[in-house]
Amino acid sequence: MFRRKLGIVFGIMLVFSIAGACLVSAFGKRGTEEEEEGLLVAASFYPVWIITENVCAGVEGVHVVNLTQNHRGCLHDYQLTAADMLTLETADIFVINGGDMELFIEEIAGKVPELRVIDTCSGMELLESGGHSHEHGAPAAAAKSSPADPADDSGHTMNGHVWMDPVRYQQQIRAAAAALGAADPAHAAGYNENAERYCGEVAALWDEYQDVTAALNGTEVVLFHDAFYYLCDACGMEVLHGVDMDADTALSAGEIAELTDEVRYHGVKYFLAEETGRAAAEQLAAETGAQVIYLNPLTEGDAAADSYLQGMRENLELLTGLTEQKDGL
Amino acid sequence: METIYRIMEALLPFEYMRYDFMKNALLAVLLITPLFGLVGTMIVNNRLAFFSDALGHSALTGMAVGVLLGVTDASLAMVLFAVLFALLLNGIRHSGIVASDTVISVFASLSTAAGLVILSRGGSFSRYSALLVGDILSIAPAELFRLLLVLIAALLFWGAAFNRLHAVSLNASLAKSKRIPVALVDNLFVVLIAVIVMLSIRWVGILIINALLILPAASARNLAANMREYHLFSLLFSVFSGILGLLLSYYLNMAAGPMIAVIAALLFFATVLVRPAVKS
Repeated sequence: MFRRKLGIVFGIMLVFSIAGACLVSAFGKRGTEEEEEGLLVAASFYPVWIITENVCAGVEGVHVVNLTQNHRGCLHDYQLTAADMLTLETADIFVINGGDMELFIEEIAGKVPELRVIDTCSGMELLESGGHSHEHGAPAAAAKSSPADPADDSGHTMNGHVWMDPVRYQQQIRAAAAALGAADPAHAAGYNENAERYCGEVAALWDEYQDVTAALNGTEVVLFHDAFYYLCDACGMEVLHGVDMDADTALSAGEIAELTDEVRYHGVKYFLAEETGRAAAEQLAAETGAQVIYLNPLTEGDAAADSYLQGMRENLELLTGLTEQKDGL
Repeated sequence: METIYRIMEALLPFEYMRYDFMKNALLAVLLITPLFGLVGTMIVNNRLAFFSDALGHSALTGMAVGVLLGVTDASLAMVLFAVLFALLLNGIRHSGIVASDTVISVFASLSTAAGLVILSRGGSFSRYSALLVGDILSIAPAELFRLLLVLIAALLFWGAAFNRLHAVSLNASLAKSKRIPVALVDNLFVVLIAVIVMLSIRWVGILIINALLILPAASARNLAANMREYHLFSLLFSVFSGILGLLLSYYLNMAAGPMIAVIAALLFFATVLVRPAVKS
């Protein structure tokens, strides 16, 4: 009797194993993958991927992958999957944004010690993220003027969305190219050439921004995405308040009330938000009569190397619309 | 550790064994699943399924208390809290004031809510959301060692106290008349469950830990006619679903913990189907 049961138990397991094997052979992706020849460069997420793709364009034997291709938005709380670990184990170089954007990097360092990590933000002056940037009653100050509050319990206080500032973005491009060149000296000239070409395009775009920047200088805004701090910093807009939309808990009633009072007190007319942060921004706009402008924080998009230029050009159009409207008033 | 890795590579000459994280995960599965298969039998027998689920939820509060006290080792805070929680819950459960399932539900809700309130301060709950689903791929050798210790402790407890535990589960009054320290045995068992749940919850996840504790034992119960078969089948089902789940998650690129739970559940249905043929 026992033997028969044991037979049945193993029979069931056998059936499951065969079914599993069928599933794997039908849908599995591994096992057929072959080692790529040459240099495999992984980029941590979308904006970094765009930089890396541009810097490595046309360089022979270099293959660029976006580690978090299927992930949308910023990486703050990203958990690495088995597939990600696999990519990193096979990659030679890992280009990251830095500025606390990839919090999982510490975890990787212990596990894949031979991986060469390039931090595109290293040595750059970063802004603080979230919270108030001014004293009540006093005129609003620029975001970066307030020193970091060490006891801030909101977690990451460093703001890593540097790519939204076209000037800092060029520094990122050059940093990536220099580090890639150091890691792969044979192609250093190619990386540099690409970086200079791409920086040129970004600089040209930034020139187009100058009219808007002049018009918007000093405008007070409330942000619904940390990425826009850098855009505001670059354009001279004053951030009255940044609402942390990366938090996955909704704003509490107290926060909404406080924010409403603040917006009314300062007469803020514009909110900068991204599409996915709609609900909170709309709600506050309805409460205070401010206008919401939906900009693109460029944390996701299609796999085209010129996505950054396009996205920033669209942002420029939206901001230009704002200045025209301002003139009309 | 290196020696174990080399042995694994020699025994399993497959592509996935090239990666240390897969070796660690496989070792974790080989430690956690026998543990769950073993303890699960008594959880099912003693009708503690809901109890162990509540314990899993208390991980949130344990984590929160750890954060509040600034304890660096979150596991320690979680284990201590869970042991207290389990003993308190067991005490109230046996006092007979309120129905058992009601008490458990009250405690589970309270610990989940309290944990959420504290951990979501400042809107950063997502940092802890890994606790909900678990991530067996991120396990480190030191943590494997802890699991090994728990497995040894569980085996010792089973060897020393299984008969008494079984007697208590059959009939507490009868066990008492045989001079078995009923309360002590019962409390030791829930403490064991608490420690096991807390040390494995980060790898398995609050949402599915109970599936892995209950399903193999429940499947085994469908087929087994005595305690020996019950334990053997439970262990086999548990280890099998763990290994198959991990391998499938690797090849199909899906989350490991949930995959293991799905296979354990499918095994349960398979045993339900073959049960008439076995029991006749």
